[in-house]
Amino acid sequence: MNTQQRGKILFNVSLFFISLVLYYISTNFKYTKIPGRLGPDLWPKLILIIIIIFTAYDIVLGIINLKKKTIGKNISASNENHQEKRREGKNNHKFLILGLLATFVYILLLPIIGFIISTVIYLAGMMKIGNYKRRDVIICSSLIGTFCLIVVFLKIAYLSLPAGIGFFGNFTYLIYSLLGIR
Amino acid sequence: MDTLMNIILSLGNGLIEILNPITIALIIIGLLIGLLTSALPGLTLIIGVVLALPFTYSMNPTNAIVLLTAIYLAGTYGGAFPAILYKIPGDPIHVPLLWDGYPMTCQGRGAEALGWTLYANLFGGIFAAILMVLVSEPLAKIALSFSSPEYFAIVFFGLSSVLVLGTTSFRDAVVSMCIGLFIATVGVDAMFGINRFTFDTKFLLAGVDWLIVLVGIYAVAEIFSRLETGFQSSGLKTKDKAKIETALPKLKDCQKKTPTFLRGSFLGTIIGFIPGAGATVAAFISYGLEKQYGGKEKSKLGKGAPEGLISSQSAATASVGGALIPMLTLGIPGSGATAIILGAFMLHGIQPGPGIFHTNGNMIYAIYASVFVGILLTSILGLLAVKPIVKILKAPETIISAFIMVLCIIGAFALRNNIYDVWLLFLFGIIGFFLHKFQYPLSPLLLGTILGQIAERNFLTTMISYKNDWTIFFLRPISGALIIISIISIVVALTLPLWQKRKTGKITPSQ
Repeated sequence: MNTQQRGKILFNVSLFFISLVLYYISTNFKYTKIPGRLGPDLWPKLILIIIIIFTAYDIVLGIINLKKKTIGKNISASNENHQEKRREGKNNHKFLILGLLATFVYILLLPIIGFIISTVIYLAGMMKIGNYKRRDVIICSSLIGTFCLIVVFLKIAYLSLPAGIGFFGNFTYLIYSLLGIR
Repeated sequence: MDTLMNIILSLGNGLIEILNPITIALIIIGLLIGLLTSALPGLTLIIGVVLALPFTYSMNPTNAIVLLTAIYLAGTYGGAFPAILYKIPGDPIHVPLLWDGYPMTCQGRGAEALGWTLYANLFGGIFAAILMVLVSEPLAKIALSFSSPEYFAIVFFGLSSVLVLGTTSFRDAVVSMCIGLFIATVGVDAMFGINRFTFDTKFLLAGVDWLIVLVGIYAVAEIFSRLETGFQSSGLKTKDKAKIETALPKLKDCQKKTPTFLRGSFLGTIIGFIPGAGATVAAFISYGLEKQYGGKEKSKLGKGAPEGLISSQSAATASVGGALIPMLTLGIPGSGATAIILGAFMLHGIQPGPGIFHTNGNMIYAIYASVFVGILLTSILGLLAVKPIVKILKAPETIISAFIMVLCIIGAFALRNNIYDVWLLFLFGIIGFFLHKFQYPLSPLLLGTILGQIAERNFLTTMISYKNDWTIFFLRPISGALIIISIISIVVALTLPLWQKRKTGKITPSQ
């Protein structure tokens, strides 16, 4: 519970400071001011002020509540339970971080190595990260799935997908020609 | 009378337009996608509509909207199967269904429960569709006389209702909505032509497409959340051996429950009409009202009463027709799914609003006709496809999630053939993940993003036209009424919990 509360306070602090910076940016919009007429900075400023007020209020309340709970809690009784939860939390964060990293790398490589290769690797990687055990299913579903996506999006929906550059681009177009896609 | 005849004639023409193999096939595909995404735990009907969106880019506008509407329609029903048979709501909409549906399954009446749900879906859907057809064109005619104060008031009403309805914390909802409103300010300002928050990048000049925001905060964030839990959502266990079939109740029994059917359907249509409320709110409120004012049977609710199923399911399905009314006539989406459908209209160069019956009347009536056909087909599919759908529910969550992520990325890329859109999607996925983790409601953010530009444009236009006289919002009858209702609902939403807590003597600083 405390971790969740601390996280929320941290999130609110980030929102608070980001809003402050954005508010400062909105004070520097360059436009010709007409006397008696509202400008393009009014609307964003109003929104940012509301965010600043509400997040500041939430930060203060969050700190007050956190202090109250820290004083009141019985450390020894919940120690064991906490350790177990922490261990579980670590595992969960591992999945999340790996998933985020895989998605980040996938988006990064998508325009370079193209949709086909990057998607096969990404799908297999995500299934592995998600702790799916059957290797044959992972390989088959990522290969067949990618080809199904290519056929559906390029041949039926007429959308373009990143082909990649250099050698990877040539490889993509080779596959396209084998599939009868022009 | 003439108006009614014209509406019926136009609907007939619309029906003729959609009665071709391609459109009917698209309706069936849409219904199946809707049933599946709604039934699969972790997926929602919004994700279903989002995933289908890229496929519609190359379709003609009527087929594109028909497909998305079919997904939306079936999405309010598909989650009933796992909710009733396995106590697993596929979509939050179907939580009230398990309160009575699962006890009925435990009593060996699962097939009967599915039958009542099917009837409720059929009745609620047809009821709302009739209202939608009758109300839309006259409302659009009235809306033609609306000016900027009325439009601002409608948007203000929509934004305030999303703050009040279906959110646990008002403060969090306000912050979430303001983030959405802020996102809508990014790009070249339409009124003054200056760059706002573009950070000297060309890419942000066109602003942030709210479809990217929607897919990011709902679908991508959902997969990140699932990764964090290690894909441990409760799936169907093989030991569950509930009898999987639908038994239709006798019409004589249905007649006895007509008031429940009517209450749920009417309430669902009204709640669907309110921007931001949606099917989930409709299902919960309808169930709550049935429990309070449901006549003799109200005490049986929660123990396996068909009234519980009828009230929530008819309201959920009826909310579809209700939500389509403001989207088509005012250009204001009533729910997340209608927001995507609105986006699909815009992608095809059509702007929904009061003038749509003049510019694209035939198309609108074709969509209306597809809603009627869709409801009938959903009921047939509901009767026949229970077993296959329940089988698909056993597919590994990890594989499904990996494919959903790729589909989201393709959708974002295909929007403008720009990889930066995919990066934005990733960013909004992370933002959505944290908002979800810290229990911020997501619908205010989405509605803020969608309605932000409309709100700002109409607010500033009013201020310029009426020389900064803000009282004009209160002096014009429609805008005044809407703004006063919005203010009252916000005040009530803020003070009611405080008053209730004070009454029980449990007030804390956080409240």
